[in-house]
Amino acid sequence: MAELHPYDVIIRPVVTEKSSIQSEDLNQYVFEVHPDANKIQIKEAVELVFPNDVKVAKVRTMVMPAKRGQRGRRWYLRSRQWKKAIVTLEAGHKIELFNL
Amino acid sequence: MNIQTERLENHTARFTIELDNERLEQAKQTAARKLAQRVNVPGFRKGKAPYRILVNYVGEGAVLEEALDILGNEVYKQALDQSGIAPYGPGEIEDFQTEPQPTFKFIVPLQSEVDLKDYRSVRLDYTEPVVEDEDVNRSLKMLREQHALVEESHKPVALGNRVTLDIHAVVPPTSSADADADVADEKPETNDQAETETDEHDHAHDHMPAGEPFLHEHDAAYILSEDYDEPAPGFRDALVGANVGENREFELTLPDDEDDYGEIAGQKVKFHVTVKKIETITLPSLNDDFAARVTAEEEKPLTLLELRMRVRENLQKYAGEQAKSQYAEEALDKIVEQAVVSFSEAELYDFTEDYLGRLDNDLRRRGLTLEDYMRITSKSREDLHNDYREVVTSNLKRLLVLRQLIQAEAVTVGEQAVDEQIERILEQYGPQREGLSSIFKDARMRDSVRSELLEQGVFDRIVAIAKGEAPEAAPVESVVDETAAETTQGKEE
Repeated sequence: MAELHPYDVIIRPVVTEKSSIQSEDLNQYVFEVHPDANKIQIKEAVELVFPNDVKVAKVRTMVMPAKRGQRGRRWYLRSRQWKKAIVTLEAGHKIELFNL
Repeated sequence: MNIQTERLENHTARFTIELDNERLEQAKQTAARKLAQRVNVPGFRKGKAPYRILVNYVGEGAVLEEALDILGNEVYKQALDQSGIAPYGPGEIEDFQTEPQPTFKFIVPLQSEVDLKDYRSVRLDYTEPVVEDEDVNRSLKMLREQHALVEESHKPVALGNRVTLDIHAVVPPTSSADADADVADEKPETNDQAETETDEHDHAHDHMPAGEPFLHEHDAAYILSEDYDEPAPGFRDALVGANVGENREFELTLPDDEDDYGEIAGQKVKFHVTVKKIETITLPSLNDDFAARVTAEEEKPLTLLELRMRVRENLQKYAGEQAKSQYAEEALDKIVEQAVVSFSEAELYDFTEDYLGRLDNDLRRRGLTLEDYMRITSKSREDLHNDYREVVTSNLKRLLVLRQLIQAEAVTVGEQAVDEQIERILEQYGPQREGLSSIFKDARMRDSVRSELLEQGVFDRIVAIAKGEAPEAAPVESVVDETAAETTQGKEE
């Protein structure tokens, strides 16, 4: 498998009520990441992409299942499967993008 | 907060209010919290989206607009309190700047102001109307006509007959070419002349001559009297000799009287008339028996001499009231002419809307609406505001002057006067009064009676001023009461 470029690892930040609380209270930031990205690649990508030399303390990943819907007898995909990463930064570090 | 006030030309004032940046920021935070309750931001429950997320989602402008609403109301109230200005209505934001510091500019319509000048020096000559014998005779003749013996006749039409007619009259196209263009510009009228036209209608007839309709009536009763020759001179003579069922076509020239006939004055009109019924009228003899018959319901029936005196009295009273009313109007015109009245555009706009509302009611009674009228004439509401601007301005001036006069002359109406007036009104309805009395318990009806009394009172005072008989300004409740009593008495008779 071809090596993932660090800029391809992080797809988007996940901005929800829950992720807002996590970033404010726990210094944890939530991203959608490439499905093939591993925790090491995610850590390197976050430290590279975001300014101010942020240091990542811990990365947790999970695969969010696809959501299916039904119209009559037909099933359809409401949202595809995706990979979520919760990145905990070391104390004192912040990502400005999430500075809400 | 720094507030500056300046008076502008069109009876408005401008508030310039400078605020601290902090206050704007606070307002934006409050606005964002309010907006968050309404806006559905993905990933957040309603009202839970943080400020930055919400601003990104709805845009800075939406938050600022909401903040201006909140802040504008607050600072406008404070500015009004501090400046001591009495506004006519709500102000409008003229401008808002954020740099170098948040600054509001409001335009505030001011309450109308009236300077009556030396209105007490206004004088007008008053001529007491005189009732001639001829007027009494005419009234008695009308009374005789009301009590006449009417019998159907099969003879040709003669003078003095009552005839039932179908009339279709038009102004031929050649002579009305100019008038056609102006039809769309005609304004609807709320006067009696317009109301009489409700009997006429607009539908096609095979026998109808081509042209601009002048008169279109079915089963219209006309008395071919020597005294009247309506609707056009020569109409009476043109029908003499006709039999029942006969059609007559003739052309008459309208009198050159623009007051009565407007643009078609002096033009030729083509009539197509069908005689449907002929009746002879036998007038009763003018003697004591007739007088007794006419006044049979009274305790003691009158003699002819007494009836003549009664008719003369009533005519004198009616003519006196008419003359007094006209005199008061003329005196008010003079007072309005010398008064300095200023009001804002907002007040004029509201007054015009009231006027259009009344116009709409009048049109509805005639089976139309203002919307229909606007569609027919291809005019917008704004066009109507422009069309009626002059007349509404004049009406508003009169109203404001009247209000000021009520204050200046301290004309007041007490609750007792209102009760007494309501009692007088109810007396006229006899047995039906029980049902009607509850209507007058409504506060709006009482207000309506009160304002009528106030108007009477101020008009009486205007008459007194113009005649040079007005006492020094003082409460004139008693005057109002007496006048009301006289007027009601007059109506009863």
